[in-house]
Amino acid sequence: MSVAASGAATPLAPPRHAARRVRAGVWLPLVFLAAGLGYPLLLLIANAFNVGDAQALPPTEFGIANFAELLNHLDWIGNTLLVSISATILAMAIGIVLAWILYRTTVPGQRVFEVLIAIPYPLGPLVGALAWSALGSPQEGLLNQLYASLTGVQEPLFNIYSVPGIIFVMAIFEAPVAVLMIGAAMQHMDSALEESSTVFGAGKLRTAFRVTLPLMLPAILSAALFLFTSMMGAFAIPTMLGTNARFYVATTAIYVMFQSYPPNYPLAAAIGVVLVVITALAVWASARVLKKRTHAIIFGRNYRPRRMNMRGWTLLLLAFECAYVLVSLVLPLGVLLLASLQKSGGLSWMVSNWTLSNFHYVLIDFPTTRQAIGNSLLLGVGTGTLGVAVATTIAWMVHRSQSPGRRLLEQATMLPQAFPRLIFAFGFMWMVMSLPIHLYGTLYSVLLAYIIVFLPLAYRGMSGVVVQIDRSLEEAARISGARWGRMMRTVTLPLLRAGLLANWVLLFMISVREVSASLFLSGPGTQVLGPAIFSFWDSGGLPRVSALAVVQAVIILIALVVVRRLARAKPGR
Amino acid sequence: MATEIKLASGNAAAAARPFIEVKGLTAAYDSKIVVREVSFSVAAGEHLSLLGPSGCGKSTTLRCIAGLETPVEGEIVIDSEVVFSSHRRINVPTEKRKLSMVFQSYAIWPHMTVFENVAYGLRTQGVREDEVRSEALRALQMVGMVELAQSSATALSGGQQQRVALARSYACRPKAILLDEPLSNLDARLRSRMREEMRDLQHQFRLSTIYVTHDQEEAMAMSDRVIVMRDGRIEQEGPPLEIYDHPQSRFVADFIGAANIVSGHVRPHGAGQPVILDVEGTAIECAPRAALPRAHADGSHMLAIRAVYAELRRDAVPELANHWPATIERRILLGDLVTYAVRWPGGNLRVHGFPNDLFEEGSRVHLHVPSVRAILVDAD
Amino acid sequence: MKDARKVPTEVEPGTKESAPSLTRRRIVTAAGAGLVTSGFPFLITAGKAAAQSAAGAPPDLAAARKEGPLLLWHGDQEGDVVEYIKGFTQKTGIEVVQQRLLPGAAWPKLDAEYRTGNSNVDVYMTSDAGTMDKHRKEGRLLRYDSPELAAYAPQYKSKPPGYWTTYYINIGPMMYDPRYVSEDVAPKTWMDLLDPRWKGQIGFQNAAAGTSYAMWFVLRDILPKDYWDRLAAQKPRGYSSSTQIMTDVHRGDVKIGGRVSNFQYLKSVRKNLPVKMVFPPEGAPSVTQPVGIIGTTKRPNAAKIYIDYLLSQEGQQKWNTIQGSYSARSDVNVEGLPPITSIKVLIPTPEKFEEYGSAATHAEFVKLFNRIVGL
Repeated sequence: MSVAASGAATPLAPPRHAARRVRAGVWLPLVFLAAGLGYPLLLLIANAFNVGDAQALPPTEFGIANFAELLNHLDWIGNTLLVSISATILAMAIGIVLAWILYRTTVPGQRVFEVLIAIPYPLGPLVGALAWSALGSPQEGLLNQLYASLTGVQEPLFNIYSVPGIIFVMAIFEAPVAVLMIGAAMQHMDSALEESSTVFGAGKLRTAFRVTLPLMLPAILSAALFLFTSMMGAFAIPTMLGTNARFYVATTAIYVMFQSYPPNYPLAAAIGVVLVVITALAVWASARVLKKRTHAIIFGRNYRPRRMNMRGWTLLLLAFECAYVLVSLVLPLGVLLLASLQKSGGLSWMVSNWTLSNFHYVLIDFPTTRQAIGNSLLLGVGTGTLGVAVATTIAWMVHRSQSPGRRLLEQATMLPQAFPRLIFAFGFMWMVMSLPIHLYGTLYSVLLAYIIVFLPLAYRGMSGVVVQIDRSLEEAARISGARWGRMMRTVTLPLLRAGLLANWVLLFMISVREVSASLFLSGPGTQVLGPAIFSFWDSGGLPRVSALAVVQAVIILIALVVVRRLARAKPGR
Repeated sequence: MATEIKLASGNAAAAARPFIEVKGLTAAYDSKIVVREVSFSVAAGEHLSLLGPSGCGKSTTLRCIAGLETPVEGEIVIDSEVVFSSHRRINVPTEKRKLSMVFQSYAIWPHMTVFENVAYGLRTQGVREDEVRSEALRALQMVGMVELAQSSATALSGGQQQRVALARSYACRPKAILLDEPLSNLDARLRSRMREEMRDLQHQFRLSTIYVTHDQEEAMAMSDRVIVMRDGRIEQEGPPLEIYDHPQSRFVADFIGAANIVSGHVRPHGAGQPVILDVEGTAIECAPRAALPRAHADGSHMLAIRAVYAELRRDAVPELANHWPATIERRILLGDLVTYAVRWPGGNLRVHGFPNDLFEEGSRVHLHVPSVRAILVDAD
Repeated sequence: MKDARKVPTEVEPGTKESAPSLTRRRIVTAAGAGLVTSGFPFLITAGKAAAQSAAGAPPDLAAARKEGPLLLWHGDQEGDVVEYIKGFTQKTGIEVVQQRLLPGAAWPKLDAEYRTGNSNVDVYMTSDAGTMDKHRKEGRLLRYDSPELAAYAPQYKSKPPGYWTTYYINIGPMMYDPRYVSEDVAPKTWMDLLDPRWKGQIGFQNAAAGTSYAMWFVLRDILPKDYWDRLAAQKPRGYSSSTQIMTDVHRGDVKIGGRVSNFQYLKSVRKNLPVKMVFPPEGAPSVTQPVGIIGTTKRPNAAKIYIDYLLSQEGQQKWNTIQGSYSARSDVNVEGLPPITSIKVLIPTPEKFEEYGSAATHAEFVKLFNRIVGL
């Protein structure tokens, strides 16, 4: 019998790093991201320090005059922070409660509400702002009119053109994201943790606060960060509801600066830099906090989450769900539909005042909107397909390959989060203008911008799905002789199918409703829906812009329905 | 005697040319070394088990052979082909090594049918479809799963999945089969049944097999040879019975079967004379060894006495060596076995017995340990 | 012993090895996108290089039709422009694509396109005559002596004529809805706007609008120096368009449109909404909105035909009726508007044109007016 292996008393030297090549699936996206994010950021920073000719690209004279000027306008930054933080808190509160109702209690109607609650997010802030301005404008808003006719009081119930109004609308249209992220964590929580709490005598509310909530903290932080960074770059709602009230956030200021002649690019860039710094700080801070806490959500094997029976509270919770669906879906779509049927400006219930001519106008007559609809559909398909392909490759590289550099890749993929979309968009526009290849003024530039901007979202989605696939399923394929391509095709991708579909549709929907990222990039021939609706609102009347918004909403709803059908048809995993 | 035992290791493994060779394998995980310069070989058709507690590096070793992990150093040769060599910078990817593997979780693809699962390897090789059919169905028949060939893989129970995984590994005509704790997810009855089936299959196919497990019963029952691993190193290697009867170290003695470990000092002796261990004044004659094993820092040595080899008698047989009066302190009935806690002049001992001849608690008996069963082992 | 000379590391996935079905889908999508984009005008630069036609050369209709769709930039109400060019296309067979761009977006875009040699716009209709003239001086406009120029008084044409011409006069009265503001309390003069009762209730177009710039430019020499600070104290609101001002005026959300492009008047009337205009005695700040051909146009024939029609009696009648505005031609009258002779129209005078067009003056205004509307 052989002697035991030469167990040297001295420990082996630490392993020298195996000289592994960095896989193409890692360095290609890294280069792409570095260029796509880095270059615009550089241009932004360069312009922020530009004290010479405002139009010079690249700038030649440098100084800090713009930041000094910014000190006179700290209220822009302050307003942005005020609105972002408040709306994030409100959206998180709504999101946590809704997620808890949906996934940890026995309140009925979970499947129905799950769908209804998810819809407002892809419908988008543009639709929300339009609808709520029609609902809540002090004199003619539908709700105020209702209130006046019911109570006879002349003073309007509320004015949506106010800071609380802006915060409210922003929160209710971003809350579905919070529900999604926190809900995912809640579904995977080990219910034994809550059960033991009740065994030891804690009531339901106490358990919810002392056990469930703390365990959810990583997911909550993660969601809060995502919401905060989105809201920092929010444009549609503050512009449509705020400018009339003399309330300006950074993005609105930038937009007006871009419209005025001469456009003050350096000041706009300075604002942009400040915003990027703030959001980057937020990303960094939350990453540190998350690292300290154990990130692992407990996954059970054969696991059925036990829900809490809320007994007497059930009705109240149901009412809360209904209230949310009412303010975020029913009322907005309803009032937009009503407005789109109007012959003239006011909101009338009389069918004699109704007409379909507005739809005819936007769908057939008006070339800009016709083109915008077509372009948006095309762009949606492109963003969905390319975005999912890139995100899946990156997710696989990060979670399944041994390639060095994959941690860096993951961090780089999440970087676009730190870049408020409007700011990124005009940095990107400068980059595109300065490139020798003919990209400026084409849909491809918008497509590229969209992919970069939506990559964090797509990556999140695909990463969650990739991680769930048992590694040994892929290893078994490799052992059976399958090379990487065959393995992906026959094992990985079929298993990912449901996730691929869901994320494709998500990307499709949010690209259709996007405004900030395409505002500066789209132009004649490359109109897309979001900016088209916005400029329509800028210069048009409520009935027609409502009709266009309804068309956009219908496109998104159809996409949602189609994907649910498809997902149910396949025996998916 | 050691050399005699070496030649007695059943099959032609030691004498024949090795089919799989592992030389100086060192592997790390997250910059921590988990396999340290492990070398061993597997003959053609031999069933080798890697046995050890969790964290000992057995799975990592297996995965290195499969190509799923890349070792830091070493060389792996399969069927005369160098599939990995750190010196020569050779690393054949997994998919080209023509091996099979059964995973702990079975890794049955849920989106395919049973048949498709089994046929996967053959199809990947580009085998003609009718041949694929016949081979796959044959493999399924051998594991008794041919009726479920068209069922979706998600509808299978654990045992059924295991069978399909086996069929899949045999069907694609691999050079060798690797198994990573394939039975650990099954309950005890199913486990013993599957053990038998796997043994039968193994005999039928005569493929080189490397089997990783932490269950010493499995290793003993199925293997031609066992390698006991600890902390990334090989502790001992040999046929099951040899390891059982002649553990080299305390660890191996403890890990396989139930062993009593006593420590004492070796009395000075001349060459050719039996080795006597002095345990608290009591002398035990030990099995002869070529050289004394490793001692503790204070010079004491460890002795392993298997619980089943210690004998209890009612009457004294004084002419026997290693014979002492003893008292039964406790008796625990385990069903097929009885365990006695016995107090003897050298301390306490656990002895296994059978239920057909029970000793009462507190009764006085005579303890006999055959000297060949008193094995001196390396101290830790 | 078989020599195992294999690739040292794992198989490179590479982008080409990605799942074939996805690649197929991607190819189809890209091909589809490619087809569509190549079908879209203005995504690829039009092939034909424009022959630089002489200033007086009359346009060739047949050639114009072949030049491809005319790209028109403007700052007006998109719906009006679309309706107008529909009529133009019907009459001439020339396709037009319009893009609404406020001055702040248009001029830099033009500059950028000039710099990169990438310019694609043909005709620009704007509210900023000063900057238009500056571009004339920089040689960026194409001179075309349309036969229609004869019908225009000198103050409505560029000097020398042919570079740009006024395609309508945008007069800026105050406006209000008599349902919310009674006639006796309504402001009558610019100074009345400073009445504290209108605090927070006045709406202007924001600093991006050329009409707001013109308003300030012509009024600042007439009104007291502290007028603008006192106006700021009234906390007026800044809107992106005159339509938006009127929407709020008719909703009762804002009481007075401080300076509203007069075409909104007829628009409200046509919608049966009660509206009143106030032409203050100090004068109504107005803009002579110029239209001109961009020098690098690739479709000179089409552009010239467009100018001809727009400046003709028929074109002017059509355009101003659709909008509800005043024409610079004396032989064009739009029903429902008070005659232009009854209004004290204030426009920047020729001596002031240099200052009117300077970027520095613009910047001064932007800063001031942003402050006034609270930005």
